[in-house]
Amino acid sequence: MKHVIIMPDLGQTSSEAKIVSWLKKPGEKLAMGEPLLEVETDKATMDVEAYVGGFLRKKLANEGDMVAASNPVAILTDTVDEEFDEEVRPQAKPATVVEPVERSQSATPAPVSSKVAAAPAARTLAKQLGIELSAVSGTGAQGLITKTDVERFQAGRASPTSSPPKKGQEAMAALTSRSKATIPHFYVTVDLDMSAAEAWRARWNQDQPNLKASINDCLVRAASAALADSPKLNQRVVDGKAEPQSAADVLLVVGIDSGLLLVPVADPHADAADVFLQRIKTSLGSAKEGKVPSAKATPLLAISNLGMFGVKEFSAIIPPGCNAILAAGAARNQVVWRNDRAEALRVCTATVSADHRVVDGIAVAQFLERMQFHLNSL
Amino acid sequence: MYRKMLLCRLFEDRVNSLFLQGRMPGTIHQAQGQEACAVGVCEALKEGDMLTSTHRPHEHAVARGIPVKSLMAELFAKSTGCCHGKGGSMHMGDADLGMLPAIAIVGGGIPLATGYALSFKYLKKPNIAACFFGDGAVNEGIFHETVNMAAIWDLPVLFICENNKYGASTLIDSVMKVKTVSARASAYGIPGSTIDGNDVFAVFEATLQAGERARSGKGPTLLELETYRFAGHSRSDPGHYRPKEEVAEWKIKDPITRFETRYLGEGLLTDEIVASYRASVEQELNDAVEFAESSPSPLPEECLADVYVE
Repeated sequence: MKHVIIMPDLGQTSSEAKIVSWLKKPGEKLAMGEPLLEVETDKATMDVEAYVGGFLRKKLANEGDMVAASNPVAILTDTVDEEFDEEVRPQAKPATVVEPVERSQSATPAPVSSKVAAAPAARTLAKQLGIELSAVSGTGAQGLITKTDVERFQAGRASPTSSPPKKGQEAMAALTSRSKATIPHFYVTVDLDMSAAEAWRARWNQDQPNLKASINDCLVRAASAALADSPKLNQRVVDGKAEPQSAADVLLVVGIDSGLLLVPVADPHADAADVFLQRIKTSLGSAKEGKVPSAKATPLLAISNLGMFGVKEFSAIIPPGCNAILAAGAARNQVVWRNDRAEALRVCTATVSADHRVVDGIAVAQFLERMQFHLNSL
Repeated sequence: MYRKMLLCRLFEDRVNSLFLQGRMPGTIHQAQGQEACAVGVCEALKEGDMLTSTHRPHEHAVARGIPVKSLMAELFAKSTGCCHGKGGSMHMGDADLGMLPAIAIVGGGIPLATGYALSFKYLKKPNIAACFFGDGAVNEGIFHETVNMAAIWDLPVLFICENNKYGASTLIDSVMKVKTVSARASAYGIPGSTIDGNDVFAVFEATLQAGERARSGKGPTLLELETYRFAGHSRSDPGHYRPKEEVAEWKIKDPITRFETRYLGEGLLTDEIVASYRASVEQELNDAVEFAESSPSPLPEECLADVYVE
């Protein structure tokens, strides 16, 4: 009789495991409960035992393969030379196991699976757009396809010239891992008072309806001006030697369909407001088309803004080469106690992640103080 | 007692096999090797006594006499389970049958058993409560607070520490300065003793004596049962932190083979009896698995049942 050995659900946070080594060769006998192969989960290396005794007849996966829980890994038979059907029927799965979803986002259809895991909203949208769900890669829990995944897939289909997303993702994975592993991050958070900046912006937008300023533009300009006032933050440290920078360039984190782009903007505070606004609009416009303007050197301050999504606050990972990154949330109304009375303020929570090898908390706090000053005097 | 121990062991082995076949959902904390603790203690409890357990409760529940069908169905998350399929591996038990559904929080069962003991005393009932906990629980504040309270009020409760040497992967010697858990009893002014937890009769005798003491109003006892789990802490733990020699040494002290060797030698047990017990236990487990797999899942509309008191 044939027995199919499956990958048990051994992980604590993931439901797949890597095959480290086979402990038995085809044809070898093993007793019930005897280890058959060694696997590596997210937490530990451990043995998978045979739930039944018999002879190993066929390995269905190789050393180094990642195998999702409850997928077959080997076939055993009761006797050493009996004939057996190599076809492996899908196992009856426990209720908690979600069908593994093919991660490739290429146009080739994913292997046929009976049911692709997708959120109901994603299914509805995919149906409307005529998208085959099996071709969409899921980013939700255990590969669940979300509505955003379908939207992203549709966007990729509409503009085939956009850069291959997988490469961008890989690059981002490598960059962020390197940064978090090598840069000692620390975080300083303040509520920036945006009242004066909002007032300036309202006046400006009324005067210049063809060259409107966004809140992000205000933040970028004020941050650059503050950077120019913060020599400790605006120094490039190479081999233990500090090089002060004459310009206060910044690096904008820009979201495009296929991921994130880093767009350098030279000295945003140095030009007149209209010149700056024209420049930043051109830079962001060409970035969205996949063209990133070149920079002589990586700016030392990056800026990321999730305010347009209603995010209150977040902390960001420092792009390698930068000393700090400013993460801005949405501007919101807040009542504060000031001058012995309650005042309604426009507030934006900003968190600076900084590299403690280069700057300390005082330097970052002073930078934020200067940023508030410049927001008040745009 | 021998058949009960076999039922505990083969129940755990069957659960492991079902897990490896992917037929049973979830992870599991198994207790192979600790059968003498579960059976020795439960055999000394009477009807109306109350037991609380831990995140490793399968053998306690089997030993307390909760039907294996309802335990197996619970592991399959079926509505015929002891918690109607909504508790799972770490909440085995049935209060009507003398065991509260287990509490997975480390040390969580200690104050509950003591609460039962207080109610028994207050209502002048002849019953006692007992709580199992691991060596990992004895450095929890709740252990100290509860044992002290039970001691000053002479409550009829037995504190039973299954010392299997490892709190998950932490060796007890590295987190406790005294040599034995039972040494702590003197700090509370109650009796404490360390017992060979792989000798079912030693465990039974000690529990019986401590139980009589508690029933006669003399208060709690702290029993430390020295034992060992053969498997890792859970199915995601290979247990590599334990030396191979140590595992091998404890395998020799396996409570079931020890029992068999001793009584086969004395002629009180025969190979035929062993074989027939094993066969009948396997049959009982086959029936339990068939019952569990053919039972219905809980209905969505039942999800709020048993949550609030009406």
